[in-house]
Parts: sequence; structure tokens; C-alpha cells
Amino acid sequence: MENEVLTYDALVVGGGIAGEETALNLAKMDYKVLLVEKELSIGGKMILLSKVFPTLDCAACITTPKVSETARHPNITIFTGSEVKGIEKKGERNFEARILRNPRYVKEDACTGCQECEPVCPVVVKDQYQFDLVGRKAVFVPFSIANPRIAAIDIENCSLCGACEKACPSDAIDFSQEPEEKTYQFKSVVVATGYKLFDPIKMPRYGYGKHKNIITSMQMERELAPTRPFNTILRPGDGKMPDNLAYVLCTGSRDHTVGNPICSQVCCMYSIKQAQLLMGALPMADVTIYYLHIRSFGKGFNEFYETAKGMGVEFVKGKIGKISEKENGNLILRYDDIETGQVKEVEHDMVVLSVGILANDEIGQVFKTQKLEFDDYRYVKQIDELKRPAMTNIDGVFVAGAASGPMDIPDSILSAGSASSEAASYLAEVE
Amino acid sequence: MSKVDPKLAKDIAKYGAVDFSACYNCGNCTAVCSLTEENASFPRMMIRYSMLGMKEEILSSKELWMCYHCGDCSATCPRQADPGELMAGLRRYAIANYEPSGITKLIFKSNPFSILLTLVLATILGFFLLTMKPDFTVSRWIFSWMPYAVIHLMGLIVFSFTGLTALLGIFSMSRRLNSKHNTDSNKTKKSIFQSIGEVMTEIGTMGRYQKCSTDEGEYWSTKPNLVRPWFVHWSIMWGFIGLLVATILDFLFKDPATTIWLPSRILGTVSGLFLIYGTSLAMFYRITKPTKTYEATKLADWMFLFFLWVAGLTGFWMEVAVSFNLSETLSQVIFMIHTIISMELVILFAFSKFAHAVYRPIALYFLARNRE
Repeated sequence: MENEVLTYDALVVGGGIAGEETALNLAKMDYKVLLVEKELSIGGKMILLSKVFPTLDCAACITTPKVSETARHPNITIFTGSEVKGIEKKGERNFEARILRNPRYVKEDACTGCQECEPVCPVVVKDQYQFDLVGRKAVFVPFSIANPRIAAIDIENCSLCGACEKACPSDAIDFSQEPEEKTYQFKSVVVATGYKLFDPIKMPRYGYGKHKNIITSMQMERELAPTRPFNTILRPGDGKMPDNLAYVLCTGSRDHTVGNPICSQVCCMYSIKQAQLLMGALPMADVTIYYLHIRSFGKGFNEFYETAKGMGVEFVKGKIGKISEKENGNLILRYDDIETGQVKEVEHDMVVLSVGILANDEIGQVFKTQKLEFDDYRYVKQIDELKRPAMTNIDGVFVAGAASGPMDIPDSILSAGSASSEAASYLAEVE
Repeated sequence: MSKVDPKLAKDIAKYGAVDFSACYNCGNCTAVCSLTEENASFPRMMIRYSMLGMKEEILSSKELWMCYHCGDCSATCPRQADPGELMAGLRRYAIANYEPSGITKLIFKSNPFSILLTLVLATILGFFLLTMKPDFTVSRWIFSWMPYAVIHLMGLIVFSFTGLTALLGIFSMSRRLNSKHNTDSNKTKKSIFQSIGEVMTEIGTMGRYQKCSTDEGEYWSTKPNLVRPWFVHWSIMWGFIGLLVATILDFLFKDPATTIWLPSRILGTVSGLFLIYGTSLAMFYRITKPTKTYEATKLADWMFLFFLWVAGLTGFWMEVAVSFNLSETLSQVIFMIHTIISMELVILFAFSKFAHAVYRPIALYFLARNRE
């Protein structure tokens, strides 16, 4: 690109709901923003969700208008499939960042997203955007509501057979693309890198990854979403429609043994939400939620919890100790029933682990001259949490959304509002 | 029902369990335990009792003795409240509270006291032993101060005291467990004889202990049975019982065995080997700490184990010394050590970890009584 812009007012790292909100707010104030997203589409975790609590609005319907507004805004430039490699602060309102753009091996301006390439591709691998529930091809459009909705080639798994190149009607396939690393100038930086999900494989006593009919809450989120892979709820072991599901709360949260002693703040509510949705999707199914404490603290949350109880969702107090598998694929959950003080073993035909959220601390390696500080749980440290929650230890670097701690979608958007106004006032400040 | 007593938690902490107040009552410990069952729910229940200060509930819990401290609960506790260590601490607490003299409380709470007591006892026992050879200079010197009859009487008093205390401890525990059992009396499902049979089976096979920490992925699941804790315990226990029987047989037949092929001698040799194997491995684990179980080893654990180990080793030395005619003076000294250590084990029976040898079977009996 000949006339590529190398100078922006703000660098926003992360294209989830917090990053989009920050970028949009700044763009509307006429600041030039570069939004860098490591995935192939912006939208973050929210675009993959089914519905949001406690209103049960469709997540995709709320987030896609914001996604396309972000994508179409003239003041916002988006790099997907890209990573920030190094940020150096040279002075106030003077940051230098190296950004690596990984090739899609598909010409972005030529691809129409017609998906003609997909049927001819001989390679099938697990689809990370469906959380491994189904497969995808090595050349693929990430998901149906992705933005940009264009194909990419997963070069790690590609057999380089060239079938897609022949099938593409607009000659968009380009195997000659190479990674490109360039240095850009910014006046401020907003970290909106979100969170990681706890991987329950780290708790072998639950048998995730070994017992076939245990899935994570994010996988259930996909099964319930409008763009869901099976178009119904199935258990992965044998494709049976479950009729007795269990939710295991606090999987990887409030647990010292996995290094995450704090509450993830969203699991109680998303589990209650999923339980309500399951009541609709599988009217005959029983849903039991095993919990330590139900934390329904937000506006309308407790009413939402009461609604679930009214709908017939069972709530049982007791942490699941171990899960074993029966020959027919059903699962035996062992727990100490806190109400009666007796150890119980119950059978369910499908188990959902309500996995916690963990800090995404990779951004720490990116800051070269002045290190970005983290709190005890590896979230970006808010140096003035009560008065100016978006401030980090570096002047001109702000934090938005779950990068600063576990939070739900409305809180992420609030946090992004705070970060964007802090960034705007920093940019406008007269020296 | 006991009254709520917030001071109890502090008292229990003196017996070694310090972290249990971190518990948020999730029940993970109970759920991961392989031994907890409908009729015996632990460790969470014990943590609740401890936090609320329900002393009588603790002392009348058979559950304390259902646990073999495999450490699974502590390893997976989300709050690092170390429930396994609390169970161990409560067993010390119970041993100290069952016997009425208060000596055990001092022993478990104060390391200097327990060391001092052991040393004083060793000195007294040493003198006592020396008097068995009346023509010895030291003995003559002792006798000039204290006639033989007095020493003999003192010995009788000490052994009566220790025996009586043990009996009172057993009585105190049985009474409590029995009254608890009677309040849930509708649960009695097994006869006395069946229950005793079940206890015997457990002592013989350690069937419950074998279930500990052996789920897939747990530490002992990949280790052979010979080095697993249940077998280590089995070796120590049966080694000790075997040696006890052999000693009694020798004593009864007044035949200080001229040949090692005498049945009682063979029993003694084999048992001694088991005891040495078990205690050595147990000490090795307490030093290398392969699992959470061994992380908080107390002086009381060390003393009991070390005494058994020394008793086994010195006993075996004498066996060898007799067979190979080794130096007499050295053998005399080792015989002294062996006897002093063995006597201390017996005298301190009700005041030490050793007491579990009677308390655990009693608890197992009550467990068996109301099981299907």
C-alpha cells in the first residue's frame, strides 16, 4: 500500500466489545484510531455468545451493529489477524509500536465471502470459533457473522493442494503473501485485550476431554446461539438430545489450586441464562445447577435468578468433587450436599462446566521501555481504581473492559467509555 | 448438643491445624474423599464443628478415625484450608481429651515438654534396667539410696497408671460414640459380631486404606502396592503385633531361644523385617514429602515413628548378635536402648499417637454397626 497511514491518535489493542466501544467513541470525536485484533474477525467473545443476561437479548443482534459501525467508520482502521509486538513510549503523546500483520493468504479486497473455496478444500480440522464442537476446512470464513466476512487460509493445516485457488471465482487466493511488520506512531494506547477462558483439562478429576459428554459453558453457548452448529442441543458423545443436564459452577474460579482464587463475576449469571434457554430449547429436560453461592448482584440479576427457579431449574448447593463416566456415556457427579451434610452421587446425561475467566497477560511482554503493571491476579493494574478506573501506571496508556478484571458486557462498555474519555482528555491536553 | 464456642478453634490450632478457618464450606473435600459415605461424612462436617466450637460433637465423631490422611482433600481444597491436616489435628485433640490426666494435652501442645518427658522417662527406665544386675557398681549405688522394693513398687505404679489411663480413654471414647450412635439408633443394621468381624477384616486387609488416593491421576495410582501408604501401615502394624506375640511366646516358654528356627523366633524375625521396612519407608516419605499428607509432620508423628523404627532396628540387631556372637558390651548397650524405647512406647501408649491403635478400631466398630 503506497499511501499507508503510519500515524494515529490512538492504538486500541483488542477488538472485542470494549475495544470497539473505545475505538468508536474516539473516532466520533474525530481522533484517528488503529484497532488491532489477533483473531480473523473483530467482535471478541460477545459475537460468539447466544443471548445476554438478564434481558435475554440476542448477543449477535446487539453486537453486530456495533461491529459494522466500527468496521465502516472512516476514522477507524482495523488490522485483523495482527499482533502488537512492541510498544515504546518516547515521550508524552508519543508512542511507537511495531505491529505484525499475519497474512490471510486471501486478498482482502478481492474476496467476496462466497465460500466457494470451502467445499473443495480436502482438509478438515476442528473449528476454533465453534469451540471444537464441529470441523471446518483449512480455507474458511471464520463464522457466518464475522467481520470482515472474508476467507482466510489456516496455513498450519493447509496441504497447499491449490484446489481453492482454482475454485475461487474472484482469484482472491494468494499464497505469496508474507507476514509484514511495521512501526507506527501513536499518541495514546488503550489496552482492551479481554480475558482467557479457564481450560478445565487442568482439573483431571472432572474428566473434561476424557468423558465425552462434558462440555464447557462456552461450547454450550455455541449450541444455543442463533448461528449454532447443530441447530439443536446435542451431547457430543453420541448425538443424543440430553434430558438431564448439570451445571458445575466455579470450575476454575474461586479455586486456589488452579491459581485463580477470585470470582469470575459472570458464571452464575450466564449459567442461569443458559438454563433458562435450555428450558426453552429442550422443554422436557431437567437442568440442575450445582453452586457454591449464587452471585446475582447486578440490576435485574436476582429477579432473573428467581425466574429460573420458577421455571423449574434446580439449584443445589455443593461443589462437585469428581465426575466419572458410565458405559452409556452418562456421568456420575459426586458432591457433598450442603443442605443435608451427606455425600451424594447423582447421574446426569450431560455436564456443562461453567468455566471461569482468567487474565490475558500477554500484553505485558509488549511494553518495552516502561513495563505495564499487573495486579495480583495478572489483570492490568488500575492505579486509581476508585476515582479513575481506566488509568494504568503508564501515562497515555489506558485499560478498557475485562483486561482490568472480570466483568460482564454492560460493565465492559462502561469501562470502555471511561477509557475513551480518559484517552480523549489526554490527547486534548495542552502541555 | 454442644454450645457454640469460638475459643475452640484457637485451641485446635495448637494441635497443628491452622488453616481451616479459610474454609468457605463448599464440600469439595468430602466429595473427593474415597472413604466418606452416607453414614460418615467428613472432613467438611469436622471443619464446621471446629469453627463453631462444637467440642462434644467432635469428640463423639467416629468420622475422625475413618480418615487415613491420604491428602486428597488438602490437595484439591479451593481455599487451601488443609482439611486433611485438620482431621489429623482433631485426632490429636481427641486423644488428648479422651484421657483424663491432661498429660497428653501437654505432650501435643508443647514440644519441649514432650522431649523432656521422653528423656526423663528414659533416664528412669535406664536406672530401672541397671538394677536388674544387682552386682553392678551403679546398681549398688542406686540400691544404697532406694531399696529394690521401692523401685519395683514404682514400676508397678507407673504401669498401673498408664494402663488405667488407657482404659479410661477407651471408656470415655466408647461412651461418647455409643451415645451418638444411640441418638441415630434407628440406623443399627448389623449385629455386634458382624461388626467386630468387619473391624477385623479392615485390620487384616486395610481394605479402606487401600482405596485412598488411587483414582486415576492421583499420586499413588501409578505406584506398586508394596510402596503405597496402606501397605507401609500394614507392615508397621502387623510387624509390631507379630513382635508382640513373639515376645509374649518367648516370655511364656521362658526359653531365650537357642535356635533361630523356633516358631516364635521365626515369627519375630519376619515381623521385625516388616516393621523395619514399614517404618523406614514411612520416615522416608516424611522426609521427601511426596504428597500433601507429609507436609505438616509434627514432632508427635516423628517420635512415634522413630521409636518404632529404633525398637525394630535394635531388636533385629540383637537377633543378629545372638546368632553371630557379636561383642557383648555393645549388645548390652543396644539391649538397653531397645528395652527403654519399647517401654516408653508402652508407657506412653495412651498419651501418644499410639493410642489410635485402639481408638480407630472402636470407631470402625461403630461405623460397621450402622452400615447396610
